[in-house]
Amino acid sequence: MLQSNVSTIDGCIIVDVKHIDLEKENYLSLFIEDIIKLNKSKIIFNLEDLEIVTSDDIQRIEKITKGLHLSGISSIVCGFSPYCAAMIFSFIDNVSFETSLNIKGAIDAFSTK
Amino acid sequence: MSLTTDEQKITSQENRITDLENELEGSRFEIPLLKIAEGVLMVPLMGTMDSVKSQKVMEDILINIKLNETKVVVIDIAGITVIDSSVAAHLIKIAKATNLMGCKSIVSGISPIIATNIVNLGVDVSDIETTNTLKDSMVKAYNYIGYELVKKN
Repeated sequence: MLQSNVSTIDGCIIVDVKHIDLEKENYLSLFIEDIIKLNKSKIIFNLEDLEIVTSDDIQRIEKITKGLHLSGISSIVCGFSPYCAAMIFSFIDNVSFETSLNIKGAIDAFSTK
Repeated sequence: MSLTTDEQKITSQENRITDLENELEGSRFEIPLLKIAEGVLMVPLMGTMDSVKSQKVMEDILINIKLNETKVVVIDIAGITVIDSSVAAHLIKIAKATNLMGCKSIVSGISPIIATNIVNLGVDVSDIETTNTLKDSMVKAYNYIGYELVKKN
C-alpha cells in the first residue's frame, strides 16, 4: 500500500509523492495498482514533499506515468523546486511526462484539455 | 620555505574566489527580469554568456516562476555578442528547466546570422520555441496567456 498521501480535488487524484514509495522494489506495480483502484482518469503527482529529486526518481516517475497511460489514465507531474529544475538537466536529457508548476496549474491544465 | 609557498597559494586562491564571487554578484545585476504582464517575464541577455552567468540566469528565472506563477518566459538573445554551441546548450537547458516548472519559454532575437550559426553548429534546438524579433515573441506570449494585441482605432 502507498505511504504517499492520496486525495481528490475536482475529479483529479492528487498523490503527494514520498521517497519511501519510490524506493520500494515493487514501486511500479504498487503505484499503478493503487491508482487504478481509485477509478479516476486524471492523476497529479505532486513532488513538493521531495527535498531532492534525483535522476533515478525521474526515471521511476516516467515508468509510472507510462504505465498509467497504458491503462488510460492521464498524469501531470508538478511541484518541482527551482533548484531541482536547475540541476536535473545536468543528469538527464529530457522528461517524457507532462509537467506543471503546482497542483492548481495541473488542475487547470486538465480542465483545458 | 614550503609553508610560505603554500600560504601564497592559499592567498592567491582566496583572491580568485573573491574575484569570482564579485563577478557572480556583478552578473546578478546585469540581468534584469522584467515582468511585462501578468504571468509574462522578459529576460534581455546582453554581452557574453558563460556557464556561471547562464546558471545564475536560469536560477533567477526558475525562482521567479515559482514565486510569481509565471506562465511564459521570453529570453531575448539579440544582445549576446557570440552564439556558439556552448551558449546554445545553455539556452536549451534553461528552456527545458522552465518547461519542467510548467512554464513556456520563447527565445527571441534569432537573426539570420545566428540561425545560420546554430544550423552550422549542428545544435538541435527543436525543444525551444524561437522567433526572429522580440515583437513576435511578445505576440506569442500574449496569445499563450489568452490575450491578443490589436491596434486601437
